[in-house]
Amino acid sequence: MGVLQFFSWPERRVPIEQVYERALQRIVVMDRAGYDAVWLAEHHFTTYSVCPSVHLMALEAAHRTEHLRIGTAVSLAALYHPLRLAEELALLDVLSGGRLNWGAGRGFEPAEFHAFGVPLDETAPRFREAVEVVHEAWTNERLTFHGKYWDFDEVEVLPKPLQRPHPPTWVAATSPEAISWAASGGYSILMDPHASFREIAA
Amino acid sequence: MADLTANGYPVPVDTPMARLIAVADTDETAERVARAGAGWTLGSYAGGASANPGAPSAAEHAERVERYVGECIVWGSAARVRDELARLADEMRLGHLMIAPLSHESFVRFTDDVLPHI
Repeated sequence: MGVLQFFSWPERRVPIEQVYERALQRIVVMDRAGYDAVWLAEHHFTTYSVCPSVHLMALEAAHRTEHLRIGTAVSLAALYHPLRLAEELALLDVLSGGRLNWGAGRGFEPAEFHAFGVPLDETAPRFREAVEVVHEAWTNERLTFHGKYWDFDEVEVLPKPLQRPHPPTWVAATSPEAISWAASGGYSILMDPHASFREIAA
Repeated sequence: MADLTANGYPVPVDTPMARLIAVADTDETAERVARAGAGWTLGSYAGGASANPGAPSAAEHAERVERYVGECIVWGSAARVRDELARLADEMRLGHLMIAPLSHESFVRFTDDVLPHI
């Protein structure tokens, strides 16, 4: 049993630091109450949830808890340089004592892609390539990778995650094509909270 | 699942399934929380202005909220939510549930009155 934790800021009624403190207090309760994991959602440019860095928030959650696994649901992988993503997640895994659950997603909000300079028609392939780079960086002593968007030769990406061969990974996928891609890589699926019961059952 | 097997991977036992949750002392109160949460979610994010350019009419928005409450949110008293989750577990091979509480009270009631029973 896990909790998907948002950082909603409706009508900006309270100071944003209060939103964070209340959420972090709930995360401490989750740790004591026996939940398995908290999952943190990354969003940008919206009061729907003000958590632009799930990795920073995850580190604070890890610092305040002992047993709870710390998940991202999701890291918007297409918006990152994949080596920076691999490094931050591995560092998080080490500092949390191997409690990272990595959830990766493409995202769907055009305003986010536009602001970060990612062409809409490249979001899916960039996302997939980023997930591949992260795993290659985690599982190879030195990374050599030649893809459509990224090229690396003999890069020693450090640290490596504490969990071997790598932290458990889920990908957010809803379309049949995305689900097939996830299955081809052996990735588990994260089910969308906005999907209907009927869509999930299908 | 079939694709995973076909590609030589084991079928995972953990497929986290996120569900928005509203729990209150009565079903009626929980439904109100669910409706408010649906309005906020649809207005600010899922299906919001940037996802669907062209603001929906008030009637369209109300219809979408009703559909969202009925199709995407688990809501009710603790007893009703326990029953709903048991039903979903049967119908959807629910493994790892990831709840997204729509209010602080929903989180507290779920933790105290639902979690110990599932």
